Amino acid sequence: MRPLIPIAIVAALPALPFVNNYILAATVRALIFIALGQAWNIVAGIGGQLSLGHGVFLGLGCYVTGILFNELGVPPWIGVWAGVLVSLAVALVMGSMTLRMRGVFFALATVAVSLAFDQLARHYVDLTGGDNGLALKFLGNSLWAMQSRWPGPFVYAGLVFMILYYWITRIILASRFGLEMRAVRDDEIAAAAAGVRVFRTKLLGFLVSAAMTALAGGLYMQFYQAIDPESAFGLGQAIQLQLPALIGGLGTAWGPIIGGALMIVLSEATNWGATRFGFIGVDILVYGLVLLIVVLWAPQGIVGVLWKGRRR
Amino acid sequence: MTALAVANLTVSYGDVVAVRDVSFAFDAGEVFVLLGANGAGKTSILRCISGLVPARSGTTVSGERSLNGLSPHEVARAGISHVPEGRRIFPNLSVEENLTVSFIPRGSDRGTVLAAVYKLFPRLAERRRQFGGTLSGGEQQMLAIGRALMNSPALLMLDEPSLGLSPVLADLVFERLAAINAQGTTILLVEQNATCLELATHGVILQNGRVLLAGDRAALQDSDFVRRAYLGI
Repeated sequence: MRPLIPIAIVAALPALPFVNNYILAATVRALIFIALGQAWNIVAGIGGQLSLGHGVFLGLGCYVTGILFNELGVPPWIGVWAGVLVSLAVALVMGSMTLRMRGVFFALATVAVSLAFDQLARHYVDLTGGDNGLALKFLGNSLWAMQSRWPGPFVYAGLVFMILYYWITRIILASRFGLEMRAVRDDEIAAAAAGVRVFRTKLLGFLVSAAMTALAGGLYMQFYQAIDPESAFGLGQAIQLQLPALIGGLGTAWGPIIGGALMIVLSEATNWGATRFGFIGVDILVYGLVLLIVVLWAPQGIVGVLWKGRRR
Repeated sequence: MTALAVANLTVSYGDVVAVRDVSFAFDAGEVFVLLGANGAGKTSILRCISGLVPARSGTTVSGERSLNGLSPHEVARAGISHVPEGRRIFPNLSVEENLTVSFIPRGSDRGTVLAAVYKLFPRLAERRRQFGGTLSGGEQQMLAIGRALMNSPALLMLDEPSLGLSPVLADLVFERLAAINAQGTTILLVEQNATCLELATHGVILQNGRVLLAGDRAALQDSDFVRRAYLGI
């Protein structure tokens, strides 16, 4: 069945102009969610380092792309790579400081870094727009500025991200580097005794994951046209980034895709129900419930349940 | 040639001293045993040699090379493998991945070393695709030893490989260790099970972090400590 999925996607692409914008926009949200989830999955799912600070890299991808565009007219095609570089630099410093800590201490340290960036974004109002956030100057349909009134182009871009990140995950899983990350995830001391350079492996995984998050942040910025401190560095976003992999299946290449798609379907359905019946925020409640169910009954995620006994 | 020389080693965790001024040395090709009860400091000595805990004072030298201050992966790359206490295999890696991850190239390619490990432990070959966590205790111990051998070590250090195994399985493990030693690998064996003395060339008996007695197999087997352990007097 699995080889049919990409074929079905490609076959459906020419029908895109006939699909209504609401469905297209929801699809883009899902694809962005999936790409960000796949990026987080590298460091947390494969590497076992539960980062709660990946909003930092999402935020840097968004803010750097947006600021360069608004202030200097740098097109996002180039600006996003600046965002990736800044994220790599921040990840290098952040990782060097935090990755020697174990488990929950690492997670808490990454929360602290997120809070610091939250304050920075709120403080430098001239550059970031402060609490109100940063909105892109809208030029209408423009390939150069990566802007479009119609969500269609973002579906294509999101699909490219999904396939590329899936492919990167598969390559990492099949590589020596991926094997060492998984060994570190299982047992750091045994990995060190087996000759694995534990800290270097963790740092490398963190850098790859940060760069992928910032790159997907570029797509996020172009689609939403705006970013604010809460959406970038808030704890809500940090948790949101983990859901696709947690629900779909940690450390698997399919997990974030299945988890991300499911979360958007759930969130759209509950949003519809919420506006219709007047329950605001019911989607968050449903997220929480789904997460609780997964943690309690299916810690391997949906992929783990579906493909029981089979290896990934 | 001296395989390993430990001199005046002291290891402490905060204020708690686990190993006090311990010295011993052995030659290449030997099976050297560190025998002692729980809390005698055996594990700390191995962990210190491996670079997992720092020495407070004293030196560890392998051949001509000082191991002091090396990190664990550097010790592994220097040809010293450590089978840690409690086996610590990777539960979510397959048997073959458990072995592959600790392969360090030293002349032979991975397939050759892997085949040699499977020949020594045919059970692992049968279960190569199974997750490490699904193995029985005895199989996990074989996997832990096999994993250490993937490093093609000159010195193999084992921390209580018989712990938690039935006497039959423990004998099997000791028999395999004898075979590994016969192929030229020096062994440093930590045990509280005095049966392992059958294998030993030399060894020391440790108590409360100090050397109680050092000698060859006959001297150790003849000691009060071992008599008491055997006869319960």
